[in-house]
Amino acid sequence: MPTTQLVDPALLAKLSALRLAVRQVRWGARMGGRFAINRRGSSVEFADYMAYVPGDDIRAIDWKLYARSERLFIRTYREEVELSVEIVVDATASMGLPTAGKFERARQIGLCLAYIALASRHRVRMSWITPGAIASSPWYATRGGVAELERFLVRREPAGSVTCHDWVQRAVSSLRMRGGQILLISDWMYRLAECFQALHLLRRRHLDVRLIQVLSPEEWRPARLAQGGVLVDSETGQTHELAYSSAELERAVVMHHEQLMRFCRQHNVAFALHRLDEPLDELMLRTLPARGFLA
Amino acid sequence: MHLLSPWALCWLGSLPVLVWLWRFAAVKRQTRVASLVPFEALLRRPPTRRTRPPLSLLFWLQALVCALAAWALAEPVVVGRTTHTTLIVLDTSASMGAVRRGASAFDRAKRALTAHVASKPLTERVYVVTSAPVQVLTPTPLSDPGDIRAAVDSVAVSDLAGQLSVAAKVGEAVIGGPPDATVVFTDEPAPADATRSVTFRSVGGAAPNVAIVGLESDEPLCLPADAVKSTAASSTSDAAPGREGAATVRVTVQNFAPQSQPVTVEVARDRRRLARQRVTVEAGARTLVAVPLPRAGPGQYDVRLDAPHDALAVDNHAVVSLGGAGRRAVRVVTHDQEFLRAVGRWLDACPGLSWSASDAGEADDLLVTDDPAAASRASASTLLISDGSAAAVPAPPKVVYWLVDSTHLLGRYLEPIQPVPMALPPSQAPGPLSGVPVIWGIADGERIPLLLAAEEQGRRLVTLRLDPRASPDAVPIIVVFFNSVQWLARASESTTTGTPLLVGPLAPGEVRVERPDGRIILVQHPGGVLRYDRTDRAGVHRIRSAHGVIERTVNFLDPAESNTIAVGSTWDAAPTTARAAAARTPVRQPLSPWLIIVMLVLVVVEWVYYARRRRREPR
Repeated sequence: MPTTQLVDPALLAKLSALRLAVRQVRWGARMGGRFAINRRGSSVEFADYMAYVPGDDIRAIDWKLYARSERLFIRTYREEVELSVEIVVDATASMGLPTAGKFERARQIGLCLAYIALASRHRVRMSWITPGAIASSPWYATRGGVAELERFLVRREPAGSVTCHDWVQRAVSSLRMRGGQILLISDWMYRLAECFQALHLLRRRHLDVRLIQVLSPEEWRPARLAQGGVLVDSETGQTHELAYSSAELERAVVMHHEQLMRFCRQHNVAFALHRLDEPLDELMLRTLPARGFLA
Repeated sequence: MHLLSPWALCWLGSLPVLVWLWRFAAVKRQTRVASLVPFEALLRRPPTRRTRPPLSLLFWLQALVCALAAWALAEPVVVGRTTHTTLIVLDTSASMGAVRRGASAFDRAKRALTAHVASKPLTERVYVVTSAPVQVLTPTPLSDPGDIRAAVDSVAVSDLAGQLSVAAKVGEAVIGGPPDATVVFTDEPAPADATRSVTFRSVGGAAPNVAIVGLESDEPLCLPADAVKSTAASSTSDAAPGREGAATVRVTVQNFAPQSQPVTVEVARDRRRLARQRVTVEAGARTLVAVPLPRAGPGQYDVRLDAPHDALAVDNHAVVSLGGAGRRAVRVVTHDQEFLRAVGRWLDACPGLSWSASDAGEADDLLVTDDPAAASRASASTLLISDGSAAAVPAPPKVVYWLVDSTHLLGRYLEPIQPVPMALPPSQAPGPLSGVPVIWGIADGERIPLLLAAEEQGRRLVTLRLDPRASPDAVPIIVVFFNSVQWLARASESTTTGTPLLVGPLAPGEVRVERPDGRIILVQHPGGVLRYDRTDRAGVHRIRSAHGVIERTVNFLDPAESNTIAVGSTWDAAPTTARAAAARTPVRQPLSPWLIIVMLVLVVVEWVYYARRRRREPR
């Protein structure tokens, strides 16, 4: 097992038993890596029976079973597919506030996911959401890539500002993203309209999009800001005199979060919220499996 | 408590200032956030002005501190039942300076007092009174141990003898009745008759000591006329040397130790040793050490004593004046011409004396009279020569045997027993006789005191009970007369601590008294004889006035205080009666010290809370 500075080795040992959950596989199986999936259709290795639903290939119906049970079942087969996993970590200035722990946690989550993917012999590439040129690592397909990816992660500090849509547009073309799975780790302090455009763009590129939102407790419940004063946006430098009640501020944060979550639910995009006061183990071993990220 | 106390009202003004500062800080505070995006919906409408104060624990703590400060400045009091009152009597007499095992008794007493007040309940009120001089250190009762310590720290041992019971009675007078408890810190042993409410903390102990207990100078009173003129001329200037003559300094030394000790007595002037005598003084014995000075000019001479086992320093030094007075002024007050003639003949025989006869005014140096009323009125040292018979014609003389106390200076040059032709006074004096008898007369089986010496309040009085008209040429009587004049004349130059200095008469105006400890006392003198009472330090006192500078010597000559082996008790207070109703009046306990403590605690809490919040807050 590779050793890392970012993540506790004990946690990594527990992560070895997990796999990335795949709900749809379209593209991205060209460059190696295997992933066992129960798939309707034909293959060499029988896996299980599933209830027939309209639209299923009637050739897959097990008629012998129908004769015995008078119910329609189709046969599923175990099929190994290859998966390309893009892990994208937000490295804009907003990730450095209110504490440096937010960016640190985002890096840890990214590394854990990369480890899980590499343990399953998937191909993993990591990228930063940063202004300027797209920064990304090479593809790694073995567990030895974990150390390289950690070095990639620790070199970066949060700085600068970029809109989500702008970055996705540039990244899709420069990184030739098409097919596979993309895991976006950010605080999602973006204008939601631009975010939704970016997510649509990724989906059009046949990417299985998954979002993880990392927030600090102070951001989730911004009561301290209710003391008033001038708020300064860490990315844009924009200021605003704030004199609202803590309830108003809290409601605004919750609404932002709910809109993002509603979009994800409507478009079948996996979404998970992680607060910094929750332990990383809790996120990796319970929340992400429950939210359909891991299996 | 004054609701309209100006300081309290001023301080109340700090509350609006505090609110304004908080609101100002809130408006100007810049908070960096990750993004304003979540709040964009709010930013679309203009922010409402905040009208209420910020709800911060820090703000409320600060507001509470300001309010408490305003309250404390209003001097609130709690009127409650009387509290326990303790009178502390601190012995500051000279014997407390005795050093034993490296620490003086006074230092031990202060330590014991500090420990006592530190362990007392906070509700207990304490008055502190010193014994020498009797002084109330805390005119108002103190409860705070720190205040009591500060009051006690300012006290030092004096060069006086003290009466503990007098100090206790003065303390009771200040309190307005007997205290609940009296604690005496002293080097004296606890008396057997002390009441239960009086606690003695004895910090002393037996320590060997050698002391100067008496000091006299022996020099010619009647100088030749030319010498007197030169002395008088030189005495007008401090710097000019006077006539030098032989003199003897007689030092009485007592050994308060259980073993004999070698003692060295030195006489020095201007730090230059002039003579030295070494004697061995037996345990508990008193010895007269005569130190001859072949050539002694006028001025102050330091007498120092040195012994191997000596606990007390103050009694090892004294100052004696020699030959500085020049002509001494004597006034004779009498209505009897025969008396005046007889005494005038004696005075004329001494060129060092200038005398006059008048009834009015103050005597310059001493007064000679046959009138007891004039003697009692006089402020100067007085020689009263009267047999009390008031007969117009003197009785015929007859031989009377004198018994003389040769140890007294008044008995110098006289045989212990010698016959003297004189008229014997009546055995019963017309009034009370004051003083110590020095000469008795024996005739017809009766023993009658003839010469008595008294010394009180800086004034000496000699009573000579004979009629000078009856035997004006009797040599022993003339010797006694001049012994008395010499002894009385010395009184104006030297006194002991605790007795007032009588100087003058001086012209009206400001008089400056320079004490031996360096302090300067300014006195607005109305004119006449100046009486200076605060002679609690031994040494030379300089009195500066329009007349010039007059030096007076104050010596510590107190065998009772110097006796550090067998310390006697000065406690003779009557048993304390029930506490007077006046002393039971409700007390007004000031709240301000408590409020200040609460304020300090709140400030600390606020600081801790602020520091912890700063650590939690993102930078």
